[in-house]
Amino acid sequence: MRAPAEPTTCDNLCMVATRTDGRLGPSRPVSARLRDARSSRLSALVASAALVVGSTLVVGALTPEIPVRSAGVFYLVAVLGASSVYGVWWGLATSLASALAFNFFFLPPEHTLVVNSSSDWLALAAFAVTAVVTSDLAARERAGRDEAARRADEAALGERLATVIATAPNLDNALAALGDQAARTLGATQGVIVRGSSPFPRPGVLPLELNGRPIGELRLSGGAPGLVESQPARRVARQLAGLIALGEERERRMREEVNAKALQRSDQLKTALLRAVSHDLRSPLQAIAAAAGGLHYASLDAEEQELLDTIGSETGRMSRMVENLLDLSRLTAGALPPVADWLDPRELVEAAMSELFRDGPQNRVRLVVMPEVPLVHGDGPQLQRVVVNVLENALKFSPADRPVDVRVARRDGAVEITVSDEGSGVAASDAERIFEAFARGDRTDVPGSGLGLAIARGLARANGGDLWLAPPASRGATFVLSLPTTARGGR
Amino acid sequence: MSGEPLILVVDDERPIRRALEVTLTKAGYRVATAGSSAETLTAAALSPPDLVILDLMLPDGDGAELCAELRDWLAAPILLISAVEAEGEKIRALDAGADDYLTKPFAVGELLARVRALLRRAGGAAPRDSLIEVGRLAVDLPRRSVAVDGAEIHLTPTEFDLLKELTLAAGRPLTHQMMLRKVWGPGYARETQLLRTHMGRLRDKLEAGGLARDSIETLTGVGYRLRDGAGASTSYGISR
Repeated sequence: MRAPAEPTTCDNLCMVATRTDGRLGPSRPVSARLRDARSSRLSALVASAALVVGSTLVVGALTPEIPVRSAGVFYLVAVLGASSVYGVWWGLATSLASALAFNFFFLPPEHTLVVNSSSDWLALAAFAVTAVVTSDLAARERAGRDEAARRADEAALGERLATVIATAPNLDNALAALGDQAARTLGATQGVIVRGSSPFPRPGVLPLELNGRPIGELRLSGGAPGLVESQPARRVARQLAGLIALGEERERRMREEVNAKALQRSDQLKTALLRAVSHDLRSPLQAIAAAAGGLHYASLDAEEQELLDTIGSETGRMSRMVENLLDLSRLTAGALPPVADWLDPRELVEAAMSELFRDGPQNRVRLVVMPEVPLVHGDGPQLQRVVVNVLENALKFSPADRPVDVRVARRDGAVEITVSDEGSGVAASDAERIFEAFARGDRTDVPGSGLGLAIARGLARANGGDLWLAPPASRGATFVLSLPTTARGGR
Repeated sequence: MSGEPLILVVDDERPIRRALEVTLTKAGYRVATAGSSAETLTAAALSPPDLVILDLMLPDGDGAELCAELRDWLAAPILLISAVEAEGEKIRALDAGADDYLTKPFAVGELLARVRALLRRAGGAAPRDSLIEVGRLAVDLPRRSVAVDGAEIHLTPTEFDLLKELTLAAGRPLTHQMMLRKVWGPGYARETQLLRTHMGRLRDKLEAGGLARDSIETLTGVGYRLRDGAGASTSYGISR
């Protein structure tokens, strides 16, 4: 159970109330108006009598100048006044009193309640009908005004609720303050809003539901019996439920935003850390390569030259290994966010081929690009890395005199790049294992770290694509790289 | 300026700086070194170099900004050395006026080849003639015509403009943004779809005309470059 409104929040609410409500604010709830009504019965009697007496005096003053039957119209003023202020029954009573007074004082024979002429009967009947109709109309107008005032109260409450819920930093605190406001609007003295579903309907508890979904309840005290079943209570419940749901949604979004920011900070940290680590790992290797490069101008004998070449080639191998390990760490840490762009798949494959064959002419890769291949969407350098790794794998695991076929084609809203070799193929049981980090096939005679395909698949998936091994054909292995052709493909 | 070209080597790692200094000296260049942005500006102001080799990862500032600052008053070519992760910085530096780049780890032979190419281009007059010939490719600017081995190739106006920019850059890499701005206009700097599609068609036509497809080199994530000896299908040919 929550405590009633805290003073500070109430100040805030009262301020809102003053601003939004000019006429019938929460300072005059329904119960107060009912008390007013009881005490005003006497004043209604006095006022109606005064109206009849006043009308009689006016008619009496006018009759020498105008015909008495026309002057009788002034009694309608009394009827109208009574019915519009005090309702239809006071209107009827006033019209009866007016008819009697008119007859008694002005219709011949005067000072009796006897009516002689049939035209006087007709005048009295017309008078009575007019009075009844007028008082009914006036009473209806008055009921409409009351209803409008009640709706205005509820609308004002809704506005206050919306303002508080939309601006409060904490929904529960805001609701603690709003319970009493809602209760007073409904004529109860106290109200507590409790979030969550309530299992059983209980007296004095107004269930708050939104489209059948329980949102919470408003526990009322000091209200009239049957208040929770009344129309106004239901309307207020609907309003409250909708606004609480809105507040909960707002809370959820704020939570998500905080989480996303934390995640982003952690990603930035990981990226920065890995950047520093790669710099530290790469710099010594670059220094060795540069220093060894400088020795190319030295006059060395054949054996010394061989040692220098070994330094060069092993530095290169070490560099590739470091790059692979760094890429794998970045992938695992989620620190390789793709920078997506539109790419020509043919360009990707050709750039990969240029990278692989930069030392000499390439004569092993046969590239076929089908017509009408669309652009793909992804990170250029990352996807080129995927193609390089897959191609390198195919070239490594097939005889040096056999070609590797690359085919680029559109397929079902994606572009597929298939790489087929004529090597010994991959056992069906290894079809998934070869994509695991450090996994090697049974060909231990081929050098490698077992990272190339793992990185390739990781990068392909990070870019909204995929890489897999096609079911075994007659010979060799076929890898399929699928790339998205829409911008939504990326993760 | 006296004698051999002066090369300013900028790298925060002393061993790398020293190794490059020795190698370049042995290759016949004069060498100055700097280990930070501040040192670079001082060194370049005291004795203006003929070429700057600039590592983008400097301890005291943004390599791309340094590049832009140098470019304001230094005409010498700038060769960037960048790590794979510094892709964004590299592109900004190229847009700011750097002339070429090498990605770490690089082979010394490759570095020397780039240095030679940049110095050769800087020494020769900029190719602003009406007829530009690169290898087997001839581009006639006033007539807006292109020929491979003398045989004319028909290009659309956009394809011609793309080839013209690549030819005028004469072996320098052009970033995607540079090409889009120059050919389509400043409002198109992000429309890489346009660039990819038209470059694909341009390559198809040049290939049909007998030019090797990789005469225009794809610098993935960066841009394009017309190879110096277009048509010969050679790279820098340095073993790693």
